[in-house]
Amino acid sequence: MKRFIAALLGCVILASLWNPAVAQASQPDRPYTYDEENQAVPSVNAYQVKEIVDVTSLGGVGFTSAQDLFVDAQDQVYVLDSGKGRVIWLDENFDLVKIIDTFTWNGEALTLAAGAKGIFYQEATGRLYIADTNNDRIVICDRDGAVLQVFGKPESALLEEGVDYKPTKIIVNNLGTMYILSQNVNTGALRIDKDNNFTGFYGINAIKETWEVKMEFMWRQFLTDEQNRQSEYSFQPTALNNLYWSDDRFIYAVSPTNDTVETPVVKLNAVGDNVLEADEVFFGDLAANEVGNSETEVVPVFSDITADQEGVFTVLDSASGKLYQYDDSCNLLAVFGGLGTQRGLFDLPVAIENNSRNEILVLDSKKNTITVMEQTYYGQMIREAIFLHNDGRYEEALEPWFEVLRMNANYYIAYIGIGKAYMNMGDYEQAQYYFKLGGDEENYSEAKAKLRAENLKENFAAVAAVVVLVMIFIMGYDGIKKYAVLAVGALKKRRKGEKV
Amino acid sequence: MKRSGFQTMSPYVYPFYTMLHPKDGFQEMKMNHKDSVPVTILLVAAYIVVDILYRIFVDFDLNGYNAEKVSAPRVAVTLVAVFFIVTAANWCFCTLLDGKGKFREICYVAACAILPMILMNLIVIILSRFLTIDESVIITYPAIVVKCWSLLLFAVGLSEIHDYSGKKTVFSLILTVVGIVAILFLGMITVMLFRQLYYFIVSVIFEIKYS
Repeated sequence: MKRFIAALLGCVILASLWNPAVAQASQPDRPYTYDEENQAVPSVNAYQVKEIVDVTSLGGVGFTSAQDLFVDAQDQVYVLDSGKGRVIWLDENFDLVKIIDTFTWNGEALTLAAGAKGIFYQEATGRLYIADTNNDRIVICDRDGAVLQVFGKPESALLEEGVDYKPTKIIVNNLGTMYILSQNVNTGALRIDKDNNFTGFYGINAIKETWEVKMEFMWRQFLTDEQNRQSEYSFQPTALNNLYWSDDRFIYAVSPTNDTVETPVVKLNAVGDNVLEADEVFFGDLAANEVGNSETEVVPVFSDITADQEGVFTVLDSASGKLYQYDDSCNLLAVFGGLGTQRGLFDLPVAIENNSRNEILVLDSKKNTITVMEQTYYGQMIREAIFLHNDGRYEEALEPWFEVLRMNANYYIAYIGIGKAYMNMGDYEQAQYYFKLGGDEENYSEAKAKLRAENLKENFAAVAAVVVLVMIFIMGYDGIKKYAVLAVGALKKRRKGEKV
Repeated sequence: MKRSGFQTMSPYVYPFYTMLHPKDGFQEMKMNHKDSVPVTILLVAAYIVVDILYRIFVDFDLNGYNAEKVSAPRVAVTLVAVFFIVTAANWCFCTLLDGKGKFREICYVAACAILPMILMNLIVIILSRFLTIDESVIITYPAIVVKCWSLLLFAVGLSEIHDYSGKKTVFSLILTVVGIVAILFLGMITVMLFRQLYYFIVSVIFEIKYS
């Protein structure tokens, strides 16, 4: 008997070591997404390589360390070939249109210094803006290479004398106001009007309010102004890495991820406020969760961002070489790319752009190629469903959501979308089922409340009967009778009173 | 002495009386040796069962995905371990502090103190099926009150069986917490030691096998 008990106890202890939630291991470079509990789960490829534009093959004009590219509304591509100080202009089929390599200004030749970092093309005016980083200037020319204007460092008391002006990235709004990122400037983008007057900083990177920051702020309340000026703040804002001017007139900005950055990806409105709802959202990879790569710590360094008319934006993490695509509620749509030598992986991705066909162009500075990624059927379905969903057309989104789930049952946003559709249709039980699968406690609760109200309405008689029975059980039959007699007596008295 | 009322109660109903009248209940238990091992085991087993049910059947919006992760043997072993660590720690210190309680009495008191939590968990399981997140305070606040009640029962019970004053009871409870920490620490060291031994043996086997 004792032995039997010992064996039983041993079995129980062994069984207690078994944990049903075992993390699954899988191969690297497999598509994945994050589930509702931020665990990486296998997924389906949302993007695939359409073609790799190797400009060397286009009449022998290879890039040397190209740094930036720009795609205009006609899908024409402008590549800033920094090593040779020229701009390569491709048409929408990625065929060579022109190489802009001679720049003339007032009849004299002007050369771009090697290492220019930013390019922007404004279609309305036909102006090409080039951030000529190492010459400390912005060069504005047309597509024939005729230079229209050259802007050096603007005069302003706010721009300190000692600080170099090294413009790296530039975007221009419809009024010709330039937003310029400069090296070693961590106070946001320089906003410079079309006559090169500095009008202020824009989109300064918010510092995360950790308790250390709050402590320092509190401590400084007790210091005198003199002391405050002399001691440097230990928490400095992080410099932005890149800007993107979107068609809906918002400016997207990205920065590296670190301890002081509030959120590394922001969508700024005209006054520089972030309009993305990014609480409880993370961008890039969660270090320990990546499928098949759970040991290495990945801290995303976002170096470029691009967005389309629907507010879907894609960020490039140059540390992992991966691209992450989000909708405007910051739901993860796709993760693709990575570092490597295969097709679809990158050596040193420096810039991304998207075009009107929803293709993503990735400029690789080491391979000197542009990789064109196109949406797969799965990617298209997700895009369509998300678009309808964010538009509030839940029922219409039902079909693409089921199509998404047919291909990838791990995509939790699809379950929530289906749940919302059923909720709109009044099928609360189905809605509850799908909200549970999608891990959406709040909507589940809402569906439960609606179902409860409905049941209560339908079965009112039964519920009332149960309440009465419970009252009898608590107060006893005699207690009820007493109240009933009293009530009837009072009623009779009143009637008599009225008759008299 | 004439025995009546709660004094003649069946031992299986007695914890319910103790739950509402801890002072009288535990005094009577101590005097007339009413602590019973079957009742203790039954109460702990009931708590384990109710806890597993709680993890499984509390509705999704108040529970998350716990229902799918619950492992019944693991819950059972953990709870039994916690029960014995707490009672053992208390016994260790109270024997040193002139406590008159025996180990089985301490276990009985601890088991009786669990009873309100068992009942509350049952109520929560049923109510969670009807309540939404916004209304969940209806069960979360009473749950806190019930936990305090359980702690109070434990304290009163201990003061009765050890024949302690209020101050000394509080002091012994603090020492019990210290004891729990010490036991956990020693346990952890033992586990680590055996793990190292295990890896040592495994590596020796590998050396012999592949060299």
